[in-house]
Amino acid sequence: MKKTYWLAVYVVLTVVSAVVASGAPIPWSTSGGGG
Amino acid sequence: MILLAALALSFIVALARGGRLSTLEHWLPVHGWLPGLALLIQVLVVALHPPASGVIVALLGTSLVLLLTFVILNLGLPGMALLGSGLALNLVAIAANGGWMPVNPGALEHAGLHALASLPQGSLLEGSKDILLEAEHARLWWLGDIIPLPPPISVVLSLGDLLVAAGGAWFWQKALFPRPNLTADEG
Repeated sequence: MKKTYWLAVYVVLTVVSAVVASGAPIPWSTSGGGG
Repeated sequence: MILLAALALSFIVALARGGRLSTLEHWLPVHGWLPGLALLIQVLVVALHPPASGVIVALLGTSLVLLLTFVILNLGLPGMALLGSGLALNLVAIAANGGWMPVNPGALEHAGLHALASLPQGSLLEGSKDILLEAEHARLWWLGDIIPLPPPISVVLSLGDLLVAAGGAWFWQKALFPRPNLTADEG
């Protein structure tokens, strides 16, 4: 259970980082998050 | 934030379809530190909002190369090819415009961001890596931020952003379910 939790945290953080950094430089961009 | 919202929505939909977190161990990305470092570089560059310089452009470029490396290493994962395609389009637009993403003033107007749209041509938008450029002044303008989402969302997206969001969303629709070949093996 604990292992599943940490794996989920790792995957979520990795995918979120990849998407936000690839598409939008930052989530609070003044152009609304456009890349 | 719109990309995060798309990811979160896809995650919730996948869970509602019966997806389980326990299946993620079959879809683990490798070198997950790469996008983390890339995002950290971008956040630091923007948070500190230093004056535009070759160093800043090089740092932003480095972050995109880190991301591209991550995508190539994880191409076997669902949605990664789509995400990589979007990243590549954004990278091409940024490279063609001196290291900055061109954002169209008309699109900013349609998104309700009037104050930004009225800035002088060539202005770097604070809090982003965007540069304000009319289509005739931007190289490959159609790859820039040209797709407005009106208020209350008030976002301007690029074609690459849409592909990136689609790739991330597709990942959750597959990764919260068992890999078909593994299911067959286990059965």
